[in-house]
Amino acid sequence: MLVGLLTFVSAMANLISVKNVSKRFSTHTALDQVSLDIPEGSIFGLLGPNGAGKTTLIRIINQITGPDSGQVLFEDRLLERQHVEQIGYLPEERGLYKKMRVGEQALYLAQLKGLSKQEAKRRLHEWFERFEMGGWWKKKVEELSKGMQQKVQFIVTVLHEPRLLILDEPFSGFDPINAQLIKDELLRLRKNGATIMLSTHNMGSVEELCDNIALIDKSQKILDGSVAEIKRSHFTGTYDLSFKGTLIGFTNAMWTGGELVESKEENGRCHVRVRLRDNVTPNHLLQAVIPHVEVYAFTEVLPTMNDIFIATVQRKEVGTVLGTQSHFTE
Amino acid sequence: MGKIGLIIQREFMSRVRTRTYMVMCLLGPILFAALLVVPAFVAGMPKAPRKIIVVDGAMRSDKCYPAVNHAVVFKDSLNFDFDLRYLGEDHEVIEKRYRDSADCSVLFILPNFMGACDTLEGSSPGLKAELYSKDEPGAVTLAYLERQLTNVYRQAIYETDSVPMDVIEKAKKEATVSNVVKGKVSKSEVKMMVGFGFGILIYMYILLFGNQVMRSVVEEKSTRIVEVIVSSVRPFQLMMGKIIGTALAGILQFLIWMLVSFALVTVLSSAINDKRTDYSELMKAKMNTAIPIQDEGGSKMLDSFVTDETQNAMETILSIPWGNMLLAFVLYFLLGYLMYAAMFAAVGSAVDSEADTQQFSLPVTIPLIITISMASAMMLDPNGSLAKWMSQIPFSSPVAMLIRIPYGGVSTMELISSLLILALSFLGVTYLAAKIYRVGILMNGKKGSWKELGKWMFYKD
Repeated sequence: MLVGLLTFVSAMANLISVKNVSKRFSTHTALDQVSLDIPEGSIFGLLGPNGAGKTTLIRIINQITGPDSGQVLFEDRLLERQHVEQIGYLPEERGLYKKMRVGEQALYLAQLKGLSKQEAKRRLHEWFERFEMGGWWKKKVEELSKGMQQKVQFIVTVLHEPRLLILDEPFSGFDPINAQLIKDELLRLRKNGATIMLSTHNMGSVEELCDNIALIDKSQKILDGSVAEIKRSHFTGTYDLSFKGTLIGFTNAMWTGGELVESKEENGRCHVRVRLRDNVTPNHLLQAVIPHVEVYAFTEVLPTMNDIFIATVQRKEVGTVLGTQSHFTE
Repeated sequence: MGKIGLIIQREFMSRVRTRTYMVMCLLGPILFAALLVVPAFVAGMPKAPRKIIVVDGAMRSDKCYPAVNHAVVFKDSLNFDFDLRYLGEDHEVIEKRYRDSADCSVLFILPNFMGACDTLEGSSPGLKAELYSKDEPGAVTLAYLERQLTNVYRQAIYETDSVPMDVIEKAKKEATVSNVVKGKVSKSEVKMMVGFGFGILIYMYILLFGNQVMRSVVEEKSTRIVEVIVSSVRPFQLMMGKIIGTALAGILQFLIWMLVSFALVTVLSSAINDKRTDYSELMKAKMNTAIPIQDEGGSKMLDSFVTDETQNAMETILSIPWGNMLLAFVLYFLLGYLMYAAMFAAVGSAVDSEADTQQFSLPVTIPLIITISMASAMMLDPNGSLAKWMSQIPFSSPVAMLIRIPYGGVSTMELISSLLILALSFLGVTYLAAKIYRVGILMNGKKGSWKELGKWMFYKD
């Protein structure tokens, strides 16, 4: 019972807490009073347009640079130098020493993260086997393709089994098969207790992987929370309906209860997306239209993270963004 | 091993393992030995003597001339082959005959050469000769001929005034100044060579390894691996690890160079000395045939002169405070290198590619270049105010002090203050360089300017 409670509490604890962090460079402010929490054992998406300040925040957590004001806590304690060994960082702009051999280089970088040489060697051989890279050990990095170099770099990032993994655009440069391989590895690492901070513009992978996100724009945090909650809170009363009958019949029946966002007729069936008025429930809609058309599918449409990203950054209603791209013609 | 140790190890290995490094380890000493041995070898090589036809226009008219024995004044040697067949010809005839055709030079002593006999002031247009050649005879040949002609003139006037032969011999003696420093004979040339050699060595090493540090920084920045590394270690650790690792690779190379050079010089110079003996034999033989009477004394004098010179040089070399010299070399090299390498690292961090390093690396190198260009001025007056100042200013002291030390006269106080200033400057420069470096390595796509670099120094961590 007690163990269970403790597990529950620790599962809820934050591994990283960023508190009112600001960072200014001579001409511009990179971060302005940004606060966010990264729960332990979760995958956290750090989102934002280019130049929003994500990389600066990541560098602050990595202690590559320090904040002007505010603080970062690692397990409720002030982030200190010794924590770097518990963090693994894969920067967006990747690179390795081109003339150095893969094995030596991986050993070097792992030792810099505090692993002993023997331990690093053992783990590297495991990983190389798993990623089918057995023959690469003695190759020079410049002999590898870009994708292969990315794989090496990913392994180097996770090799010391960091408690916090910070990955900046981890899937860029990978083919779909290798991207999936990396996704599976991330899920496996989370299962083993790692906390992952993911910075990406790929909203598909955010939906697929992230438990929580924070959205930064123009150096300020403008949105954060769990993905499910955010999607729910951005729900705009939009539903997809498929029915047999005429579109005119449907719109007449719906009358002023809702607004037709998009429609498509196909083989005598209609697919429509409607947004209901504030006081109209799905039941009201169905009651109104069922006498006129034959409904055989009705689903609630939650906004995608892509929609939420665009709407939030452009300071618009999610609904207006929802209509901007067709959902039926894909 | 600490993280900085890991970095030092990697930097060291990544340098030592390159093919260029290994090739340079072997090639360096060969070049070095060649630099020392080849000029001596070439100078000692036999070459065809310059053929000179001597035409004395003064011979015909001048009555104060008969005493001059042309055969003695213009005697053949290794360098010259004189031909005295055309004594007493006319200026115009000679000019016509040799202007274009001759494959040798013609020395024409003008008819009024002895005009200077009449007046002590020497203002009359005498003592003149002309040398006709198809190619440039060179300063050494001209100086030799001038000296010999002066002898001709002297002999002639001694003869005219019936100065006895022994007086002439006595008058020929030249004064010498023996340089005795602190009770020991000292040869400035040797000290100059030692000081300049060490100064150049420090200069070369600082530039060579400083540039390597800079290139390595640029490489890390342009491949972007630097961001991964500074997420594990502090930029300062990375910078210092790089600087120290490179220095160790440099010191190893230096030791290899010294060992191999020593072996090469020993082997080569013994080979050359054998040959040299052959030449001096040859020269003696030639002199014997020319002036048989002077043989005994002359060759003995030559021998004793050579021994004296070598002995003085050896004594001078031994009189140089080698313990101080080597200690100073190590200290000044290390501190100077560390200071300059930090600046080079900062320069490397400010640019995106190696091609852009020029604009920043030149100002860093300029103090060194200035010091080397002032080396000869400092050697003329090794304890003068220029040398004293240069050996205190930290940017020039590593080279300047090494130039001064062989001459002696550097007080302990001077040495200590110079080293202290250098050490403090090293700390200060490294501190500022590290500040630039830490910002620069993460600044991509933004080309640094001097103004920008200045700003980076004051960024907060």
